[in-house]
Amino acid sequence: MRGLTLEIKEGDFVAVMGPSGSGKSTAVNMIGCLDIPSKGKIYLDGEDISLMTESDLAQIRGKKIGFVFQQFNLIPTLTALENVALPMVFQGYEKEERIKRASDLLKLVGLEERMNHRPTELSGGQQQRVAIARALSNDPQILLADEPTGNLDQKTGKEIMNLLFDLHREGKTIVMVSHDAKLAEHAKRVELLIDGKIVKSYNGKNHTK
Amino acid sequence: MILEYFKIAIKNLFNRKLRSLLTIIGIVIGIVAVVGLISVGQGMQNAINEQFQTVGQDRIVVTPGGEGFTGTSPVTSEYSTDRLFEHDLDVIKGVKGVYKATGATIEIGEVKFDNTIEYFSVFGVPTDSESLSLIKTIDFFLIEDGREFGNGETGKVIVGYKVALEGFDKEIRKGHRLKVKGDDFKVIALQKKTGSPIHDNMVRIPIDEARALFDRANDEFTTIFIKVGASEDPAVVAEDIKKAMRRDHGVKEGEEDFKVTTSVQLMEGFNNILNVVQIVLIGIAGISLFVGGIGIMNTMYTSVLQRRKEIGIMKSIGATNAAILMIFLFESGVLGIIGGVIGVIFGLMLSKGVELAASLAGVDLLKVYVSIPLVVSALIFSFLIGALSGFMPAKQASNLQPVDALRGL
Repeated sequence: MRGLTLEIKEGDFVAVMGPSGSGKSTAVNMIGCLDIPSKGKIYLDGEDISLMTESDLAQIRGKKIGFVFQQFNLIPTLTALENVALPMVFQGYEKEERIKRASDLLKLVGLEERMNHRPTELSGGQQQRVAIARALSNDPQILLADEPTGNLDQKTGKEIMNLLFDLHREGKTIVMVSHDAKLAEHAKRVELLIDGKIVKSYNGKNHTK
Repeated sequence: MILEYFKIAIKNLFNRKLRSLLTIIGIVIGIVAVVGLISVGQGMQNAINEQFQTVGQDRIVVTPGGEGFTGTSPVTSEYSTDRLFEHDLDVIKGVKGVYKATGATIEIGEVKFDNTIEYFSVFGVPTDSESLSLIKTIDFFLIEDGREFGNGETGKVIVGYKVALEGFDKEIRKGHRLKVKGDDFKVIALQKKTGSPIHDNMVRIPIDEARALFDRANDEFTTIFIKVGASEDPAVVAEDIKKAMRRDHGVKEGEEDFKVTTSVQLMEGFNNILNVVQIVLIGIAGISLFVGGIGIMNTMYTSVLQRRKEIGIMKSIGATNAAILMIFLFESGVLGIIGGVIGVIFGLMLSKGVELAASLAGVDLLKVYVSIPLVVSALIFSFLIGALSGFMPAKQASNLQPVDALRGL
């Protein structure tokens, strides 16, 4: 990754597209404070996060950012409800509040029937819904989705995309990584990344919405 | 929040039941050993001290043979080649501070009753009135049923508690007859139970008959019992006795052919031996605790390796390094403390078992001493072992870079 300049505004829906190895995941990990650049600066809400300590970064990840991964990354020993409630534990919410909010979120993604199931008892699409509910649990401004439909079949993938569109309409800033041009075009803006540089930036189909 | 981390830690342990259990066993064994040994050891020490409390601190015992292996205990004196005689008793009686003194012979001899032969300690005691007045104050010579020897009486025997009750198929009662080394004796009394097997497994006959039966000189003793005056310091009197006997035997200091022991010294001697034994045993138990700690460390390192991804996930959803550190420390600490609790329970059961076994074997004096500070410190110690052993793995877990951890690298 070198010479990458990318600006994302509040309420945006940006798709970072590119072939594998182009650095798109690294870019999103840096936005999400999971990775820090060896050189260069990243501003989030006007603050330079490249200078922050791991503890501060953890707080930012917990409060301002929600992650959705290709591999779902749920904790296998916890139920759907517990998975969704976990980020709130690290922010010090009371138990009743955590359970209430987690069950509301699971209802929102259509999983009210499967709250007490563990990830292994859920289908891929259901697991990704749980992951999205978890990403929303601390009501973050930004949702980072790294190939969110990469492990799903077409139909389920579409459902997940629709969920993301809904969240965007409700005002969330969404940054999605995808190698699939068709999927990326559904975003408001598409940034094409090759060898760590943005080679093309254009409006997607969702631009008018 | 810390409570929540604790709950997460407990949950994680529950998800790995078998591994947690196996790890805990290491700590359990160590704590069982420590708690069991200390409780039994403390009980033994208390028993010895109690025994000496009843004997009194104003007693001195003289046995033949110099310093060495021959004698902290009067019963070992029969193995010595050195001897004590009436003359020695006279010398001792002449020492300032000696209130009363008497001699006795102690041997192992065959006792025949109900057509069965068994072997017991045979005490030969003087039957003159001065000696008897001292014997009546000696704890392990107290009579329960019957009477003490009369002045110059012969052909009579006083029987120890266990000999009477369990020595033979038939219980020995007052008025029965038995044979000591072939000679006929009439039972005139039974001794009170002392709780100490040495003193409950004895028969007591007049000293002249004992000397004749066991081929001793007719003025010989194997032990001399001394009671010091009320206001005297037994240690000082003991030194004076040594001086007088050295002069009489014509030996230099350090070359004595006799040994003078005060009851305090005797008690300290027992306590010292007991302490050394305890320290050695607790040292061994400490090694097993250490190994248990290594077991926890091993489990936690494996756990960190296996759960790298999980750690990455937790970090990506807002867990700070401190949170991860705490969760892992709680896990290892809880492993330690559960081991500690189980260990304390089994340790106390073990020591109670020892007490029971001892009382079945006739040692009623051994009462296990359960000390609350011991239990509390065992629990704290086991938690610390757990937490300390878990610290390095936990530190490693908390320092993982979120991206690397997520990739499971």
